Amino acid sequence: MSAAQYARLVPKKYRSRTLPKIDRPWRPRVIAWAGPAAFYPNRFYEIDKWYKARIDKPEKLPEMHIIDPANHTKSLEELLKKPESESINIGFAKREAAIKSEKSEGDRVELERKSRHMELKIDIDSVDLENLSVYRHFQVFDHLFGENVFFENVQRLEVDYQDNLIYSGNILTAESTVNRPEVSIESVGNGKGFNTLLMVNLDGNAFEGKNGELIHWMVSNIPDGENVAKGKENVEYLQPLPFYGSGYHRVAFVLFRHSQPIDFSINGSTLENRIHSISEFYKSHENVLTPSAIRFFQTSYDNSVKTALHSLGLKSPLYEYEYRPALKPDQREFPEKPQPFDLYLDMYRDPKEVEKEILERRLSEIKLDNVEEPEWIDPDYVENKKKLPAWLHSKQLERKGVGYAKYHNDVL
Amino acid sequence: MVSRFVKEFINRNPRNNELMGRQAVNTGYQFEKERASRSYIYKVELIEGKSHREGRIVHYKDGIVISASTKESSIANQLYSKTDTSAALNVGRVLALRCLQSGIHFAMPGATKEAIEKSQHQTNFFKALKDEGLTLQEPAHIEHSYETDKSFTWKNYPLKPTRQDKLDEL
Repeated sequence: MSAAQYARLVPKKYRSRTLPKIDRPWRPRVIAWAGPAAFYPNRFYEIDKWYKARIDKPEKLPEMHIIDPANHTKSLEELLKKPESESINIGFAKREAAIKSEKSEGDRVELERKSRHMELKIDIDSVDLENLSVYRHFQVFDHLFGENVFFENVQRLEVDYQDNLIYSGNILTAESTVNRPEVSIESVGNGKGFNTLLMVNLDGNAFEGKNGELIHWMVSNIPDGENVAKGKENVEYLQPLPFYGSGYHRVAFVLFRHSQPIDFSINGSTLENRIHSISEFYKSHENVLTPSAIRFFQTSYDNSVKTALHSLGLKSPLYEYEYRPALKPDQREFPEKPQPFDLYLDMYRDPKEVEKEILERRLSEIKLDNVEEPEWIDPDYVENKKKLPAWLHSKQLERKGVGYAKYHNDVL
Repeated sequence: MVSRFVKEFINRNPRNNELMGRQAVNTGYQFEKERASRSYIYKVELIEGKSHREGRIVHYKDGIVISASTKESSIANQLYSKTDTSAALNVGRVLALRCLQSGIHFAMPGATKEAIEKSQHQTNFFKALKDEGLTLQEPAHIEHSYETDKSFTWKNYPLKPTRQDKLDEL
């Protein structure tokens, strides 16, 4: 406030001798804005408050970002690797490998000749496959017996579905598994001991409140060296039931060895009763049962599954893959970056509304079940190109996403 | 009691998404020179060691899944040498058979085209794989779009950088 203003506002009688300072206090405002260092004598450095009596001022080094190379020697692959835990062998010891055969001089000459001419083709069927890492890859042991457990394949088990042999995860159609397979089990005990064969769908449990795997077939107490028919069929054969839309199921054949016949009380009267926890089953017979062989295959839905379910008096459930909800930014009136407005707004449309729109378009063509894609998507291209806004025209021309689904999606 | 199916069925098969073609393939690291070398679900490679030939199937997450090697006596017994070209070829044949027996029908070659052409061993190995029925190409995965998911109502569009974003490159 200036002196003139002061004089105008205050009568002479009341004026003070000196002009009062009634300016707006600006110092605290500056301090608030620039910090307390704003009015220090040297505002560029921290104030040195160290008292003289102190002999030396402690050296204050800036905190550095230190990278200790000792902590960074591992590669990304090593860092991402899961820690390995020791797994327990619940089966028999591994069989000894075949003895190395000595080749005669004549054989070697012949082999060399073939080898040089690239004609040497070894008999690949005689090369046995005992590769446990595949079973780990498919987590077969994990889902059968629990984590960190495995066993070796020590007994030859051949499961044959009309010339479709089961190996370790090969894919079979559900139709080819309608009838029970032919099973041949190697005799390893010179007529002593028994085998128990279990066929389990590891992914087949679709029942509420049930825990475990679906047993499709169980034949117990097969005498060593005998046919499967000689055993007791505890659970009758049922073809694998990979439900519609549920993808590929793993179906495993597990062979157990035991020295004495065992009376398994396993209920398999209905589909729901066939569900048993294999790990619990094994745990309860741990002392007498030893797994000796495993094979598995993968299978997915086809019409034979529906027929089988109907014959059991059940409806065939329809499943649909549920994607994780796609990531999208929150909708804003003014997005930070410029966006194509039509696609941006499409992102936040109600899916039901979109579906309704497509259905209405179909109904307008009065061909609900079999809408045909028109041969020409836009016969009036030149006209529309001039008349319509670009985004609307491109929407009409699009052949992917909603545009494709307009004609190609099933209405369920 | 009427048995009821669950509303949300969970398939525990760890390979299900890969088999159904839903699993997106890794794109590799942005600044890597050969970025494509990391984009695979299964890759097949031949290890040419000093005294052995080994063929492998490597999964992008689980690592080595299947292998066939001249270290196995059942293979080595039938070969003349463990390191010659016909060893590589026969290892390829065995590996392909094992893949098909394990439900693996597609795998990317683990070596570049030039490297395969340069080496007789690699050429014969990959040729044997192909002849036995392994496809050395992986099908593209099914994209998440309106066709597969009704709640995906929009079309993916690339967001291009504006002038403001690239000021330091000007």
